[in-house]
Amino acid sequence: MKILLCEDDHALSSMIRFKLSRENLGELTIVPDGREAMRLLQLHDFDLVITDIHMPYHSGLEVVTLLREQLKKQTPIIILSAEGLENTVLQAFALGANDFITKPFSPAELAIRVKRLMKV
Amino acid sequence: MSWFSDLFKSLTPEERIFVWIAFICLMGAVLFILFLLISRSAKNWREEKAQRYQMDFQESINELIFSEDNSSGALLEKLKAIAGQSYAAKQVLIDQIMSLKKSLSGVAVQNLERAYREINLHAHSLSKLKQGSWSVKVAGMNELAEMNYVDAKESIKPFLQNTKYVLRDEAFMALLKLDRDSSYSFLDDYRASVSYWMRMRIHHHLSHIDKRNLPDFTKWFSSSNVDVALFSISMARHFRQLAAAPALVSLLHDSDKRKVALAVSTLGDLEAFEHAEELISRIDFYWEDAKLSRRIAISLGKLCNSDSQWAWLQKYLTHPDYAVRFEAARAIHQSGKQFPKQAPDMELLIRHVQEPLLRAS
Repeated sequence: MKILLCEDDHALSSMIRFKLSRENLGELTIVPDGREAMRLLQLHDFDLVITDIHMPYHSGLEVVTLLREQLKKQTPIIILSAEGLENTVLQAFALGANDFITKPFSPAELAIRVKRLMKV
Repeated sequence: MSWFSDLFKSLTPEERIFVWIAFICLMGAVLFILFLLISRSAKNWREEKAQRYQMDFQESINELIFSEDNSSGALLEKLKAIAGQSYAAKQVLIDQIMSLKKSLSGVAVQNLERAYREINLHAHSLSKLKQGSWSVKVAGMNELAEMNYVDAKESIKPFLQNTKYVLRDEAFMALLKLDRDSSYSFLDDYRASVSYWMRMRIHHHLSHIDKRNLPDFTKWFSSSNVDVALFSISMARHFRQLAAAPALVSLLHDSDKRKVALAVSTLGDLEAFEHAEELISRIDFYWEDAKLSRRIAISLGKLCNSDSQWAWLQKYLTHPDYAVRFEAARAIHQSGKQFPKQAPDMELLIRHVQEPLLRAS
């Protein structure tokens, strides 16, 4: 299974990679910004996308829009954000995100949500 | 070089001065460019070094986050060995732990805090408090507070009396985070002023905690530091601490008019109807003070609930200050009561309070 993680915090993305590989949840590709995420999504298919909202070049919400509206893909998406405002959460779900995790979060909880979405 | 010497000698004094100035400017420019290049190289070198440390630490930190107590000893020793290499290594490790802690919750955070203590990183942060630069001291306080190192409270407390306001602000914010049982006890001995920045940050902090854990702000109403007293009254007002009303009534007799003014407004905002009479009893005493009279009129407009009390408010319709008469008229208008006919500029006041563009003010 291929997971795309879009996160500009290197320490956090490394920790997530460690946790997910420990749980045998597949191969993780990490990108540090929205532009690279959008480029990879156009080139490859992923089984799950985990994306931060605030990233350089393009936001996580733009990544969701690209996946759902332009590429017409139903890849499960988890939004990871420090911003838990009701409007942002609603907007993410309206655009087609499948789950929303507010930072600070428990890595164990993230792994459970990934498993649920990937039906592992 | 004799040709240069001959040429220089053939110049007029003015031309020589010009050549010297040009030479000095040229040398200055060269030195400046050299300085820029060296500082840029030093910065890159430091960044590369920090990146190397980050990569060295990252794997062990990841393992540490998910480790059990009994299996983390070796990881901690490894981190300690690398961090012990230099001041910069310790700083990179602290920054990395703090950055992760901000994004994580649960057991992971407890493990990171434990690592901070057991690798002895708190000693590094505590040593910053003794350094000369205020920004280093601030960074040290921030690290200790973020990493929840409770034993640092006594080392941070002296900064509350520091002459530099940035240090005072950071010290009190650190103590708010570290002293969970009595977060505001530092206000007991606080001697400096409470800046707007401080108020904003305290308000932000209070807005994010369980309202049942808010302190009883009346404790500081009689503080010898007027700033602390005013701040406490405004917090009681903001968080609607109704139990503060009797203490606010006592403040109506205070010698400091700023405290009286805030107490008057707070009583009105808290809708302390049972204390309307006490407020009325101060009308005559503060009659000459237009600002206080205006505040009393506004608060009474919110508190009056009997005809006799409204009659007292109507007394302000004859006050020499127009702003006071206006507030009294507005309160009467908003209550739907009839205006008495004897007031001198009653028609003007009625037109003013009924003006739609002024209603919101």
